[in-house]
Amino acid sequence: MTVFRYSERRISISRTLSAILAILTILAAGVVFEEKREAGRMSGEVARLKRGIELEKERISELKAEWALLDQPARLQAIVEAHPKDFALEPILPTQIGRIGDLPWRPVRPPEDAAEGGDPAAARDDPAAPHGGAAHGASGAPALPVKAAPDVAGPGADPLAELMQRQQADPPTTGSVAPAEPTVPTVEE
Amino acid sequence: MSPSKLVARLFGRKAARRNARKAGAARPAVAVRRDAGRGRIGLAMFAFTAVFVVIGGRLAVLGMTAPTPSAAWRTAQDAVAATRPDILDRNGEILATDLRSVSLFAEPRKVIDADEAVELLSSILPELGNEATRHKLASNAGFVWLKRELSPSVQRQIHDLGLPGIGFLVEKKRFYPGGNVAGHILGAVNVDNQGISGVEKTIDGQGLSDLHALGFAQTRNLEPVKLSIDLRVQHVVRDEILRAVDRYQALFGVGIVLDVETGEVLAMTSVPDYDPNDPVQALDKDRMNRATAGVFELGSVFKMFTLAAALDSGVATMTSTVDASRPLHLGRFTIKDFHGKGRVLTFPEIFIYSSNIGTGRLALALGQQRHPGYFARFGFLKRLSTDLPEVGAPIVPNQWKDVTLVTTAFGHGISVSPLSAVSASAALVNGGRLIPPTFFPRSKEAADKLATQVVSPQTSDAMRVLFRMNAEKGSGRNAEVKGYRVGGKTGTAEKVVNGRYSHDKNRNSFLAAFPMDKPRYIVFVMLDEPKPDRFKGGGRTAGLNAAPTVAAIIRRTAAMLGVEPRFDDPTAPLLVSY
Repeated sequence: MTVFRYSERRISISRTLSAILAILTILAAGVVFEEKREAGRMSGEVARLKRGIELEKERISELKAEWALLDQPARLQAIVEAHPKDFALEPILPTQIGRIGDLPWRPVRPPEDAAEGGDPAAARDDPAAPHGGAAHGASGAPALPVKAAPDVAGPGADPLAELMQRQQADPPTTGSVAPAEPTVPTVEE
Repeated sequence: MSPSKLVARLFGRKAARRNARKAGAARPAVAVRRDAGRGRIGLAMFAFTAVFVVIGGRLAVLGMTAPTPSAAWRTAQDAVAATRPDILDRNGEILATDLRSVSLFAEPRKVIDADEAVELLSSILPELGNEATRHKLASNAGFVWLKRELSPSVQRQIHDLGLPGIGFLVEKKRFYPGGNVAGHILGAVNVDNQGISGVEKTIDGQGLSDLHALGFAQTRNLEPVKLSIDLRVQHVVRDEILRAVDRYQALFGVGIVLDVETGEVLAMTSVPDYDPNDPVQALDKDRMNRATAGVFELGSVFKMFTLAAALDSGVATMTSTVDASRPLHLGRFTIKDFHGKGRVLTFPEIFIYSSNIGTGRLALALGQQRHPGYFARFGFLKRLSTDLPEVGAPIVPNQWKDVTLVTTAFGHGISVSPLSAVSASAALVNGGRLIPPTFFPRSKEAADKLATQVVSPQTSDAMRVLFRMNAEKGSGRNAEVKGYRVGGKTGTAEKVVNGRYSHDKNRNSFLAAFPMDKPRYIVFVMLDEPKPDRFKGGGRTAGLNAAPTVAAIIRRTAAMLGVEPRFDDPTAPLLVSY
């Protein structure tokens, strides 16, 4: 092997370099292969997820269709008509529809320990004052006694704000259930 | 060749140096450079560089191009099954949708053990456990259907059996959750999922069929189609028409609710109808869509158009009077009144008492030019243009003789489709603007662009007064719904039986608008050959059957349509409980 003696050192450098390069090449190939496999796996995963999304969308549209089927007015009406006792639902009448603004104020009944003398008299004098809580009133009829109720309680620009103030000002410290407190009026069925 | 020689060949450059050294050259390095091996080295370097440049360039190109979807083939089958957009009502309720259905098939040639396959399949689908299936699977056929439209869970179970030669095909099936409720509007599709009638066909005409032909129509990229129909109103109208047909034992019934401001059809029904899930029913002649495809002599309902024409042309005013004391003789025809008053009638009275004589005289006063001219303006002389493919052409007189003028004035001798009459009547109450009816949502602005002024706003105002009067004290009293200010006109047309007008077979209709102070909706009801009320008895005129049906529809739908009840009568009670 004398032929190499002249540049033994250089050849050894060259060899080392070659070896390193070879290893690097193998490594790089390995990495590339791994990346490719990973990419393949990922694209498989993407396809799987896409299929899953498709299936979910199908499912959603199936459920929507089922909901539409269950929510059919004809079906609901048949159920309501078949079980009148359980639902007790009736078609709404025009007289049952109104605006909040059209509702008359709840007639104020004075508390038992009321000091003012005018209020109870006003309430009792009202011949239309209904018992049992039902009141008749209509929009555009401010002359009705029930409409006048907030004024009896105290003149103010905004009756609702005033009522709220009164509610806040009348904490249960008085010890008695305040009978004059207005409740939220509800339209009778 | 010895290893050293091989190395020497490979490392030609070193060999050259060695040779140079042996030769005792003074400047070996220079000698090496000038060696012949240099060319080969350069060539090799050039080749490698070129290869790497090509690879690098290709990488750059690949990096810049968008990735092609690798999963495209997987959805190929979706494209095979033609998909259609969902159809929604105006509130987004589903009227029609596509359902994925899976069908089971077998390739008997690939089935290894037919007995085992039948046994396993019948464990999940018992109906397949018969001799016929066994024969099918044992045969040498290439393809047989085993069961169409499986549920997903059954499909999974069969899939898990892992039988060779058994497979699934995904199909799209059109599904109408409402069944009959809007059958005539929606129409139906054929087995290839192509629209064959109704809105389904209209959608196809708007380019969907082209998409299908190109294979682009997939569910996900199809926007749902919204209709102007309100499913709740549609249900109520159908429900009430069904009830009326039953109660008055009518042959058929038609109900229409139309928005007068936009021309949108909120509801349209024609009973008997069909279930689009079973399109075969649609072939039944009796189940045709009479609301648009049928044309009818509408009778006295038509008087509103002649009266409006008389007002609009100035032939008459609201204070005019017409002599209706004696029957009107025209050649061999005699026109009489059904509710004859035998006196001179004021203009509103002609409407309220539905006077044939009075309307006939007005038609004669309008003359052979203007009277048909107004009919043409209202769109009665040509086929209605709307979104449904099924539209009947009107039957109009060939010649406008005096007697034709008079009979058409009260709705005989001219046949139009109910929707055409409804759309024209909307023009009478909305300020005189005729808007073509539509089944798709339309804004007021869009409607204004399409509108044509057919009568003056003043005429429209007068017509509203007449409508309201008629419901307050005329033949339409039974259509009144407290709070909703209904106005309308009855029509009791005599049906043609064996070429003659029959006195006891009627076609009754009622055309109402509400609320009359600012009309927003037209409600139209037509009942064919109604008999006296099954429960209460009584007469057969429109005021006794069609009008109460209109009232029932308005009572139930006004709140849904957003019409606020108003009681001008201050004594009307408002129920309140605290």
